[in-house]
Amino acid sequence: MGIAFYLTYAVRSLRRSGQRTLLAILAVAFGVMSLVAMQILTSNIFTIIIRDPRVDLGGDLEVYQDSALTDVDIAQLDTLRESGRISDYTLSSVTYELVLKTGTETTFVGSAFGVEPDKYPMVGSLKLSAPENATLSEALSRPRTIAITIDLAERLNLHAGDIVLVTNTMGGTPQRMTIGGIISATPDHMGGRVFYTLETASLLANNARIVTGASLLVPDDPDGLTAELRNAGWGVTTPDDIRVDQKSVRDVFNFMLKGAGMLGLLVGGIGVANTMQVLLARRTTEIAILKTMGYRPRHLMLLFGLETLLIGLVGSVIGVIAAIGFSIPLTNAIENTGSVLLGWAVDVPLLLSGILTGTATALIFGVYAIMRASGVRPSLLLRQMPAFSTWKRRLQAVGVYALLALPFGVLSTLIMGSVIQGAGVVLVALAGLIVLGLVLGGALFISVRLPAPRIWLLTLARNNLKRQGGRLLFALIALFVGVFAIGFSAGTILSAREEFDVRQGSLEGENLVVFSDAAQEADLRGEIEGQKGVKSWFTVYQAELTSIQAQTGDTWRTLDVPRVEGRTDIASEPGLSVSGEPWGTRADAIYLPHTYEYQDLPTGTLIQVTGTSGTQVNLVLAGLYDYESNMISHGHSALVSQDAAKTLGGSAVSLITVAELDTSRLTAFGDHLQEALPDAMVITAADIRAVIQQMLTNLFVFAITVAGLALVAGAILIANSVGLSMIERRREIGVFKAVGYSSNHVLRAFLLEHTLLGVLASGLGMLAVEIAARILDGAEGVDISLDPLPALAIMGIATGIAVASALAVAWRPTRVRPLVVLRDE
Amino acid sequence: MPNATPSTSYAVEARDLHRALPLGGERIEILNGVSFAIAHGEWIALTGPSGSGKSTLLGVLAGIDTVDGGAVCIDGVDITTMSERNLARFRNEKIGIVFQSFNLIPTLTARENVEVPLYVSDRAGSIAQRAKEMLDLVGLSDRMNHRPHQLSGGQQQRVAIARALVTHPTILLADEPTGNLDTKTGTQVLELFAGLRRDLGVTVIVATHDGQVAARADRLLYLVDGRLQQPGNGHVTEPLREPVRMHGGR
Repeated sequence: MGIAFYLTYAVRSLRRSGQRTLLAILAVAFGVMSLVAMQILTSNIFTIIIRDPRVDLGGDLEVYQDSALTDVDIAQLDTLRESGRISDYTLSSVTYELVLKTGTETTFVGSAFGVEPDKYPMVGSLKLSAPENATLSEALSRPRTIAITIDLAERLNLHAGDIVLVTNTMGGTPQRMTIGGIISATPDHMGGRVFYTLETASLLANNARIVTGASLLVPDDPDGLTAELRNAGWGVTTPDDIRVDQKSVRDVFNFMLKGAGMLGLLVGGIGVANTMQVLLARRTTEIAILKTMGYRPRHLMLLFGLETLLIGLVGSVIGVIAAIGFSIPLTNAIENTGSVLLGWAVDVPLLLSGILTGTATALIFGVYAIMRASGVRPSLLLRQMPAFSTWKRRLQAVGVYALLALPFGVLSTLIMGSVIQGAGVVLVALAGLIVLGLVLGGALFISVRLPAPRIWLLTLARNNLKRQGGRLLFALIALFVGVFAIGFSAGTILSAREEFDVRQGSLEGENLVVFSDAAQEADLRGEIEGQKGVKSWFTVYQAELTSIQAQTGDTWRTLDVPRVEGRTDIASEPGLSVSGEPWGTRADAIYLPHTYEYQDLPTGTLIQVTGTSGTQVNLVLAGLYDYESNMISHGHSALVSQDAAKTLGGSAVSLITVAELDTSRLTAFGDHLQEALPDAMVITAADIRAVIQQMLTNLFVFAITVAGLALVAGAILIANSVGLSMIERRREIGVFKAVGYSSNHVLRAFLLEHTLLGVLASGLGMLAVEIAARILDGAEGVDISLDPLPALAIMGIATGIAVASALAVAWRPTRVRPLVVLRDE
Repeated sequence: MPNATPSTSYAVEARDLHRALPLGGERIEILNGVSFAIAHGEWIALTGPSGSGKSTLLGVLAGIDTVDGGAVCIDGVDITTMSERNLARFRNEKIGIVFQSFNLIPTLTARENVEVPLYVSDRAGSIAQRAKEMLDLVGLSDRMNHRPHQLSGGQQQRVAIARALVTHPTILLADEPTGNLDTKTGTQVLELFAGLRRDLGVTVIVATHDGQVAARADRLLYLVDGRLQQPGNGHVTEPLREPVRMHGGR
């Protein structure tokens, strides 16, 4: 057997088929790109999810108490270290309430960590990109410095040495901090983070007690130590606790992302199946010639199998290259929406497996076309017979594809890493294709038979759609899925944005908050009182506590209340209500948060409170409070009179001033106030809205990027079906032209046909969006809707893709000279 | 239908061939009881009006079309009962076919086109060498590396003839081999047929409308409406050199 001859033959045939070969290659490339891009993304995400649980703990165990650690707690850890039960520990202070301000840009930091920089991290690594080769300890060596992750630095255009305003909104006063370092990699790959020393944490929180937990290195018997610590009243997180969480998250990501990739591969496979039919249908004469010369089906299968293999190989290589490119914006989109430092990376085995998978998929899906082509009877060289699509042939096709589901299922299992998930993806895809095929096929069947105006081109287009309805089904499904996915994503995210605007993002109500210290109080008051458009305002005084205890009988019970908030009047704060004695009944009143743990404390209980100034005050429990606010997060604070807060906080008291401004003046006044009081932190409702809208936009971009893949698949499948149609209708085109039709007439009929197809698919896609929205509306109370304008735009894009694909493929064949076609016949 | 009795005394023996094809809602009899025998080394012209069944008969003789009844024996072997696999092998070894429209594979050079049948042949020897020899024989050794579109019609037909004969078949079937050629080139091709028959001893069966082509034949088979008839209706200008041997034609 002349392999070299077969190879030459295959390569030349593919080159000669030009556009159609390109379409087949694109179909494979699309599938491989979808799969490999999702695999790269999954792999990168897995480096975050599937990390050593010890990285999350910062050591072998993580320990904490109900409230901040005390000196006694830390002394216990020292004792454990001295006894050798632990080899070392490091303390941390975590807060989720940090706000950064650079100029007029406000950023709400996801997590901020006070750490011991010479020890942190004890497990995993942390790298700085600036200053170059610096350690965290070196970056934070000077007071009032912070290190921020690179995503924050890039978003806010910050560099080492820049100064930012930082506020811990839980009782802290604004502080000017210098960026001491930019962190390019954190131990757990999470971004949106700020690191500083424990001393800085204390400064930011206005409180000496800021240690929220400790990570321990345990040389042996961590289980024994865990039990011991729990018995001693510590909260302990072990690696096993982390693993349980990791597994469920990993399984979800694996199924969703790789499953989406497999669907892309399936679409690519369908594209190959279609295109191979186009490629080989064009060569029936050639196949017949080979058969007259004694070629048997196995020879032809080898020859066409080699062509399919080459298509698969070239398509897979292109797909892998495209996947590498496509995975970068996908990774960025995930980074932007999830505040993670994914650290984009690809590994060679994954790329090689993508090439193998794509080639195997091309072969699997090319088999039916190859079998059909190999079965061509050589007698057609002598006599043209119309090809009847018999039920036998259709059943044969169904049988072959059902058999081919097995090797594809094996492929899917290998990729998904589980038989159940692998088979699940194939079965879900097949079930989806069958259901969508029936629904969309039925819709196409009915729509081309509905009464329509007797316009000749329209009649021609409708007749052609009637004739090749089945073949267009895959393209119809892909367009439908694309429109549905984009429409639903757009509807969901745009509705969420509108909902947010109505509920949270509205600039009405309390819309300005200023964090400051006591020294700025007079200036702030002056600015606000002299400002037109201020409807109302009030100031809350926050004082951090070092101790708070309730007298229960003869004993004192320690409460988990880190600070008090002082007020003169609560009437100006909408949403704030107290139970027990009315507000203002007594000067020494204290109101605890309305949570389960304080409900057993009777009104009148003596509460002994010590502030960071060292002053101790005895207060009386007057009741509990409930609060809903869009501007202040109260956490576990207790409410007291303004005077009590001032006494407890002393000079370290922090002020939160909340105002309601005329919305038209909000941004201008916010900017003015920030300029007038540079050491205060001014946040407006517009800042908060901008942050959330940016988050929604990132989510939207990610969803549209993924959903857009379905439209690309639609374009490829339409191009395939048009290619096949062109071959079958070559004679028809010749006849039309022979009786006086111009190329443009013929082309217009084709384009009208695909316009109808695009309108049908996108119309049904939008209808499905509406139905899904109504179902969800009824079930979840979620209001999802898409305005007519974006809906029409999506439909227009989908129809445009259908028409453009048809135009690209049909352009040349419709320009063929009729004599050439008719003489060929 | 009567069964054919294999006989090696004929290169081709057809017995009571029947073939019908669906057309619209009806079945049209294309071949209706055709019987004849052709001796080794004979040149037969198969003629008749359009739609008379020439191409169908040629296809049946080539083993690329089937019959509804009757038998075709090539070198004494009944090919109508052969499996698809054996028939393919048989075609490769025993039968060469030349078409009106040449049917060369456009992506391959002249030499590669001639090589094509050899890749599935059991014959030993260098494929390239044999293809070259055959192209020498048809006078195209200087065009070996040209693609079909770089060759004239006559040259293409000569490549097709070389391809048909490269496996040394015993029978050469040609369907209107000069139909796409001008008179001069057509004559050259017919001269080539004559030379090859003389040199290789191959049996030649040519289906044609062309009286001049038919006149080259030793004998004439004249088909009308799927039946063999005696010629004389003005379709053939030259007289037969030998009468047609017919069995059971209606």
